[in-house]
Amino acid sequence: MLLKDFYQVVNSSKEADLYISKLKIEKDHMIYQGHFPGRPVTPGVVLMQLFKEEAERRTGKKLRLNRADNVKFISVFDPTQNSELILETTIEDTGDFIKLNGVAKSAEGVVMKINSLYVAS
Amino acid sequence: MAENLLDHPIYGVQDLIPQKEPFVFVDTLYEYTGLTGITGFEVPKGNVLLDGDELSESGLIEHMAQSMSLHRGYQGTLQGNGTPKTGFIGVIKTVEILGLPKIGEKVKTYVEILHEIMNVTSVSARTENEKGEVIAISEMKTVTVK
Repeated sequence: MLLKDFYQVVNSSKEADLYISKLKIEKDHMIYQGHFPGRPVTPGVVLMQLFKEEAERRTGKKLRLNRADNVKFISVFDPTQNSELILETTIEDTGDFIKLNGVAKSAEGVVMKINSLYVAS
Repeated sequence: MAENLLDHPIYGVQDLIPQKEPFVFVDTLYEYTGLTGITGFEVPKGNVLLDGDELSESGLIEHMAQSMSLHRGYQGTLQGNGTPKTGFIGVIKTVEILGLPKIGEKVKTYVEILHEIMNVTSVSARTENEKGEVIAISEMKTVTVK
């Protein structure tokens, strides 16, 4: 985990091609002191990092982000309101790349969507 | 090309962006025009988005987004606004990562405002390492809120 003690994987499963992981985000993590003072918003790049680490867990490989397209941040994820985040992903190993399509959801609905490509590092 | 409006670079830009420590990923504004800017960041030891001795991809993307925040924040001071408005990434249309800077390395980012509608700004960014090699390019939309 890149951010120390930022989250825990509570539950992890697979249904057909879909990987599902339930995460618990640490609402008192220090990043929220700066992003933003008095207004905790999970940084989009931190959400992107969660997907990279999900792909690393599922493939067993250390990965590096090569590119991402149409990453949409649909709603603010404020862990002081609700600390549970669900990642739903499909992950394909093309040989050259690890290709991920993912959606992050909270109790309130879709938080973000991502299409990303990683290379083994 | 519009003329650079800065006589000299601004070092220490903390008051020009809404993000605060420990989540700051830009430290210098080298050049500013109404639609473009050149920003800088020296990767600090102890940064929260380091991966070993390098800035992670997420850290580099955040640097590009905060470069845009800095451009907007400086624009705000020219217009007499005080506190920079909170803004965050709405869409990353595309981002490519070609390399990662190491701790102590200084990167430079060229931002350009592509268009602006209401509170949504489309911006492109290109980040170069100390050797002048392009290490990341992106196009994103940022959203500003009160």
